[in-house]
Amino acid sequence: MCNPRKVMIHVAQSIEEAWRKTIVESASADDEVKQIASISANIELDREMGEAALEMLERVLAGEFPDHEAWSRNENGDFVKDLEEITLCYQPRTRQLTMTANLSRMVNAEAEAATEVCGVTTGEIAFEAIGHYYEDGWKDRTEERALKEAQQQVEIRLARALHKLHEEQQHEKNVSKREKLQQTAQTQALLKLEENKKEVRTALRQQLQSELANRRQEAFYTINRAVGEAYRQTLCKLVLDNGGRIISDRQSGSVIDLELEI
Amino acid sequence: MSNKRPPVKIKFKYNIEIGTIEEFIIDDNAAGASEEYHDRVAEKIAELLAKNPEIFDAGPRRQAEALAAGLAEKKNSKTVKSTIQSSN
Repeated sequence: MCNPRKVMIHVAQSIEEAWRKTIVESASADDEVKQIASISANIELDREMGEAALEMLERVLAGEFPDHEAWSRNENGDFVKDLEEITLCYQPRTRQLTMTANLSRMVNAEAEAATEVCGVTTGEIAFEAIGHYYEDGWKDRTEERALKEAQQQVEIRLARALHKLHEEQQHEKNVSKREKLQQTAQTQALLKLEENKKEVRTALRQQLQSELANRRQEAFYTINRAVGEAYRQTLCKLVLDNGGRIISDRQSGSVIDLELEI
Repeated sequence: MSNKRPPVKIKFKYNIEIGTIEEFIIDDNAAGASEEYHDRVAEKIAELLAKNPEIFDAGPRRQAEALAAGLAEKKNSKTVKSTIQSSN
């Protein structure tokens, strides 16, 4: 084994390389579409019910009597009963009862925006690549092999350095482009969302109609139950206030059946 | 509604399913009172539950019921017609 020797390759290269690149930005937007429909039944209870029964109805809705759960109150003091998709609302002030149905769906839209960015990467790359060998080729480390290794190193390091230069210089240019692209994509996504919302609204409207038809009976039953109780309590109060007696007070099926004496 | 007079009897049936007063009969047995007086009694009671109640003489129907039950005829039965229309 002789003294080790080395092969050295000096690399000093001026870089000026044009590049072209497509950048894509995507955006998504989502929103909840709420479709609220008022059922056509706007029941004006004061057109049919007497004053005493209407006053009693408020007490029924306030939950004063057993077996009749209180309706909640909204900020206007109205009585509200939530039957999932249908909401009943009784306004003591106007003595009107309205039914509204609500349905909502999440709507999503995605959009992409792309643009081509080009530029020139410039810079200086300088380094040294070294390969080691022995003159007598000990352990198969020949000059030829050392040279080959040094050349391989040059290729790898040059590619890395170039890549780094490209990245640094492209990054600055891309940042501003990407911001604009993101805005474009966002705008497109929002436009698309509006389109989607229109479609969903139409579908919801149809769904709402069938929902109302399905739940209508349940809603009326709830109202009638409260009105029936208001009648019952009004008559019972009349009897008790006047020293009368309740002969019978029963409910068979869905019929309230009272017999009183004053 | 004095205690000296015979009591007024009220029969009331309300159907929750259809939201209708099915029966509202006010039997006033005050002897010697006029038809107008009986009407007023029925109206006073009916007004508690119904706005502008329509008062009908329930006589023929009650008479038929009474006869069927073998009882004496009751002359001053009034029926009130009133329905909460929960329609569109």
